[in-house]
Amino acid sequence: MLGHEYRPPGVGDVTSSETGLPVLEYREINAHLRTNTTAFVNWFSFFLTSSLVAAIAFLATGEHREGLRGLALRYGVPIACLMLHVIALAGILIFRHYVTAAHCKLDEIVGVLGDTGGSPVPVRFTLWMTHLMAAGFVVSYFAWFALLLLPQD
Amino acid sequence: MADEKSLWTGLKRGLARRCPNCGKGQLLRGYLTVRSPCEVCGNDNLAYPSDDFPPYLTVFVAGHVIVALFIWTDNVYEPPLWVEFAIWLPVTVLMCLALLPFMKGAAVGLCWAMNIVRQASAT
Repeated sequence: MLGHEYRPPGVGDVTSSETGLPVLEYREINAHLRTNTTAFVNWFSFFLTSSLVAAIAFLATGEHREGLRGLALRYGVPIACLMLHVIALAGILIFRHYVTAAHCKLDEIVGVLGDTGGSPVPVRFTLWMTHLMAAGFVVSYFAWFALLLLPQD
Repeated sequence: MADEKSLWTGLKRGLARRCPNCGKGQLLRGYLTVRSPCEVCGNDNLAYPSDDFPPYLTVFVAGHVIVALFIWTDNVYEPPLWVEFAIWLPVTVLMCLALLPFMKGAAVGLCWAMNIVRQASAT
């Protein structure tokens, strides 16, 4: 009989493997992770390059800093840059925590779905990437720290 | 046995390389291996994920001392470059090696104070 398959409108079967909440969450976390990783890597590369270029420019223009204004620049610029490095370090640590948390959550979702594959997040690679970032950070930070302490000619 | 958790308590006990939970048991076995469970209070100190934080802290502390001393000696005594390298490279390595266990303790103490524990599937 026509219409016997009629059902009132609802949210659908949330446990279905194609549209269920765990699957949607899995896709969202993956997309989020991909976007944020790209954004963070771009931001950090920009920060590091800017910092090193600024350090070279600061060193090269040393003889033009005279008087009280020069003194303010002499100490103000390195201190401001060192403060920015604190934000960058916090960024690295938060990013590492975020990647690890996303990895754990995806592992959990894959387990809920009964799959044996595990999380697709290349967590070891990402952690090594943050080690490299930290190495660049150390070079940049101590370059500015040295500029702060270098005697004024 | 365990006191109320505070950042200062965790850092103090960790820097002394003691169990952050009781402050009595040794935290490390050998150079950097965390002893777990604690021989005094039985706390599982391996649950605290210090990960790469101790080397970060070590570089941070050693870097400030070494860079400052390097610039100071260069400014005051003006030694040749090879003398600077001969002094500061070994001093940097030795200082990092000496500081690392204390920083490991501090990182474990920090995790203990802030209730940061290792997640089961984290690598």
